[in-house]
Amino acid sequence: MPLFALIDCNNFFASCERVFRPDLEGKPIVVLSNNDGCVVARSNEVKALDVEMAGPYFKVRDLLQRHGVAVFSSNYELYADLSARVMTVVSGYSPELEIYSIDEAFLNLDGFFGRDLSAYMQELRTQVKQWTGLPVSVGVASTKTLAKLAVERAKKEPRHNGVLVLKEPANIGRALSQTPVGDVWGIGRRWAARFDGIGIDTADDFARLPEAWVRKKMGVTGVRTQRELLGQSCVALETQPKPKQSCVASRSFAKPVTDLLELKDAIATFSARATERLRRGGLVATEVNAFILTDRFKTEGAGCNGSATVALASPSNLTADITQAALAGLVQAYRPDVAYKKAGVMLLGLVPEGHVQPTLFQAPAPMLEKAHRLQGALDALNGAKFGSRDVVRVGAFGGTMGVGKNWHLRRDRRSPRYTTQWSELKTVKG
Amino acid sequence: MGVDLSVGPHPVRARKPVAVPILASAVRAGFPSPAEDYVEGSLDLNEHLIRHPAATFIVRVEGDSMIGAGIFPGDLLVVDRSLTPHDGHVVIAAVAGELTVKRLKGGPQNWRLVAEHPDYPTIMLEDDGETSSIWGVVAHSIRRLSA
Repeated sequence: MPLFALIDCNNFFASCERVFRPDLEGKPIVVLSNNDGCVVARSNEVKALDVEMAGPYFKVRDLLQRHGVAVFSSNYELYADLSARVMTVVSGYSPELEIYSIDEAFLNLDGFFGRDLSAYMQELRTQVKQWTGLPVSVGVASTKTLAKLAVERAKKEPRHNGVLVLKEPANIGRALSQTPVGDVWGIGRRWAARFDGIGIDTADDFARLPEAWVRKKMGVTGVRTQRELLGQSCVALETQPKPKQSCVASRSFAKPVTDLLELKDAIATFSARATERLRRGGLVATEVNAFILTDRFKTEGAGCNGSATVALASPSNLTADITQAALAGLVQAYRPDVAYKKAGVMLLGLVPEGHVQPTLFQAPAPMLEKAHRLQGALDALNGAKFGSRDVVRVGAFGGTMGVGKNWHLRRDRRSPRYTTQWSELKTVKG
Repeated sequence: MGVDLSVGPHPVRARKPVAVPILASAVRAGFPSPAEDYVEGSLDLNEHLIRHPAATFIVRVEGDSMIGAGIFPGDLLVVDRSLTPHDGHVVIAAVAGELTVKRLKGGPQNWRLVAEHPDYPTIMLEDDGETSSIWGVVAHSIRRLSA
């Protein structure tokens, strides 16, 4: 019988902000999305304030201030580093790990059935907290959907002390009847709204529905969710990341941008970034999509979103090729006098580098070799493999980089990057 | 959360391997170096300073309360949170919401934080056992001696 543990960091972004700030222990914290647009993470203290948090930040700013809430811009460098640390600790508890998201991981505990799983997972929880400073919760069950349900109950009910193992049928039944159907992994609010008023309120109600009815209404994914709730594992652990189908680099602008030159600058930079990732994955793209979006919270200019896809003459992962195509797409998509809030480049039709058929339009081999050598030299210069940025970019508008930096991300309230920048280390009082 | 972050299991890491060659000899043409067979790579300072990468953090010192222990303002401290604090360890602790570096004395029931400078008073730690205010054990200090 399979056995899964889901390890879930509690209010991950908010908890990360506390690691180097003991003064924030027990204090309300929110973290904002890119450009400080929306609230994306809340500490328990904020959740307890019981205020409506959905929607843009400017609508709740006063409310947060009145409650003395500490507000942070997203510090992705810190979150990614702490996440990697958590995953490293977690990986010591089973040979098979699936990193499901930045703050969640599944472990395969098949071989641990005879053990005191609750004690084993408490040990994990204590170690993650000591090593990284981050609190996690753990749910254990025979299917991923039940493990997810267990971890949510572990977080809601303090008596579990952060770990809930759902093994006995009676315990599973109780947990199912205490979980609203909309909270079930794979069901979501849209279905919950349709179930509302027809007597399907809890996970237990859903699990008891005739399978034929579920299949008719929700298709095979609904049936899969139902079977998982009944203890039949349908979703296996994915220890190998799936090959990427597309690769996106995009950003929101700090201020709306109308100027084509400035947009070109941004698109060229995103092209370089996305292509860098492509090369690291050993892939080539066959199509390039450039997109520019207007502000969805403002009415003027709404609906002027632009997007255009350009096919490459032959599959490529050279920055020069990709940038040329992306800029052509941008010119097609661009309309003057529209204030754009976000731009990006999406690389499509990705295939492994070695599997490309030579085409009529491909440059002759020696020329191609030269181009790749140049690219290799640029990557080395940019330290692409180690993440440093913006030394040399072919295709990026070197001369115009200073024209307008409006499109750079706004992160006014970002905490120091304590773990990735020598200049931003935490100071301690000696 | 709509955020694209690549996550890999490699915390605290040098951007580039810091390579200090063990055998750096310019080989003369004609004669092969007799030491060639003994080349075995280079010394990696990370290996020396960081035993548990996932638990190791680097912080900077501000203030002179630990100069008796050879810890000066501006020094870097390598903090290993995986180590269990013992009497005599130099630790980072949270005191009044701030992180501070001091010498740990006593035992789990009556931890004291002692400065290594006559001007600073000893601090009693109030640990309830559940949430420790000891943040981590200092494993190394690093000081720049010349620019």
